[in-house]
Amino acid sequence: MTVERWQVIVAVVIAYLVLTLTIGLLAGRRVSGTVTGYVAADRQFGLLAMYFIIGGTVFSAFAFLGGPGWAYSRGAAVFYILAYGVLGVAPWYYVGPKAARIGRRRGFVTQAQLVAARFPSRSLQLLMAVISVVAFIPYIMLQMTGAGIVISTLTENHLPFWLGALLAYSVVICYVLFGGVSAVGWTNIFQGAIMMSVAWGLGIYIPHVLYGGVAPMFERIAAVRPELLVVPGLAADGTRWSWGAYSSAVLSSALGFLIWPHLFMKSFTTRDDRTMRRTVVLFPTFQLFLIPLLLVGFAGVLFAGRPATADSIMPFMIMNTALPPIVIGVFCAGALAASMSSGDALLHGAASIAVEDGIAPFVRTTDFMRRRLIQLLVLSFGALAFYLAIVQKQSLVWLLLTAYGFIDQLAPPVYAALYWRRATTTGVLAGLVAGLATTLIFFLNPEWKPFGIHEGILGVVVNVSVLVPLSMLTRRQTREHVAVFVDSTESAEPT
Amino acid sequence: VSRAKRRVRGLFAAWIALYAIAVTYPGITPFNRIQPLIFGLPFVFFWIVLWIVIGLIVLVITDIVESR
Repeated sequence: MTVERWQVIVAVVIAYLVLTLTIGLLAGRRVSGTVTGYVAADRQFGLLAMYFIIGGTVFSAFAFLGGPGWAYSRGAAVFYILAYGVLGVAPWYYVGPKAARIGRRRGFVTQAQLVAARFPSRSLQLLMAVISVVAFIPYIMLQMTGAGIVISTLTENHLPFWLGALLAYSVVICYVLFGGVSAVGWTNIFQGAIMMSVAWGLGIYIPHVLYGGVAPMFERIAAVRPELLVVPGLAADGTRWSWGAYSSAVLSSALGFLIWPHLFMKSFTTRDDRTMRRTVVLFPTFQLFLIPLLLVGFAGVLFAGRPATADSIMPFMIMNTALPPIVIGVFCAGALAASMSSGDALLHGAASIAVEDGIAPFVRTTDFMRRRLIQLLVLSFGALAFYLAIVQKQSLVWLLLTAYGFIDQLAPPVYAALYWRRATTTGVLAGLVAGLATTLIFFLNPEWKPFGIHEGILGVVVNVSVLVPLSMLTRRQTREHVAVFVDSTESAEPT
Repeated sequence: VSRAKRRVRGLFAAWIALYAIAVTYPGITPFNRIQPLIFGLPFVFFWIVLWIVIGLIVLVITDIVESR
């Protein structure tokens, strides 16, 4: 009996899933059974874990499928992803340790806990929790859809879309349920290593085998379709993208990047300031790994065949360049790793936030109950996102950019909490509501947007314009209260 | 906070502002060209990658100064 290509691929994928599950379950046994253990890993993550958590969480199915898909269909428009990463992470060299220090001192595990401690308001905390969870759902859907596309394309539909997504996410939910954030961390190290090797290997190999190298490939694209190689590239409909849309995509993504609550929360998982700082310092090395992925997308531009959708250009190129099945299997594992290493942090983040910010401030709960509730919600959010990913095939890149607009509105409250003495609860809450309303209005009426500027940036402008004057008009907070948040720049603790 | 560290923080903030200008409109326009290809990449692609590499260098230097 001969072994078929898809069977080899399935075997590699299953081996990968089993290994990931094992690592996740073992990691979960290393931390305490408290909420701090489950949500913030007893604040014990070191540099290696943090590096791969941030990298693995940031580089999701969007980077592995959406990135090459954009390079293929929209050309230089995709450079916005390359442009915003370091820009978004760099401020965290100072902001991250500061948030972490306050978190350690006051026992915070979520972003909203920090903001609501500076600006005491349960409505503010609840509103932030609702925004986070609502923005997380499409992000989780995107990861599941990515896993489904990769498995179904590469096994030539022997494993259908729904089964692929179900298989990958059963493993994720299993280790998140039993291992918490500790499992997320340790599996991300393994997943990140696979992702990076696969990306660089294919990014060099595919242009080489099709065009004889990267430079000859771009010379040929430049001769035939030069409009794909200069910014701002193309819009979704194939016309030229606008400068306003390109520039504001960079700025809104940079601003919202580490404000994403599941990433922000990870500053509470670090062991000390040094770890947090070194993670930021090393981040640009992770960003460089987008380059090979984009090269594969560009390689598709002059390729004879056409994929079903732009987002499946990556698996399409892989199936059409005569790679040995074992390599395809490893790619499949790499792409699943990208999807799962983001999906796990998102599911865990969504459930932790819903319980810590949405339920715990209102209902008396024990540590044990909260941990159980988080687990229950991991399961519920997972099931909901899976159902939505199956029934609707919305353009998920669009959903993600939309989610960014709402997440951006959390940036003014977070920065005000840590840096602006004069900010008041009334100002922050009113600014947040106004910013959200603005984002929603321009999201629903895109033709109203001036110069095609991203609705999140428009929202932030309104958000800040309400926050500042209203804070100035309301009573200032006491010096002692503010000092806890704004003056904690220098660490007195051992590092 | 020492004077040296305060200067580093000022420069750090200035670098972030410069970065934002260099990769968006209109700062990017002088570099928005295909030729010459550098390391095989179109010039504007290389330009954006260059800023990532500069970012790594700036962060390493900042870290060395801040850890003193």
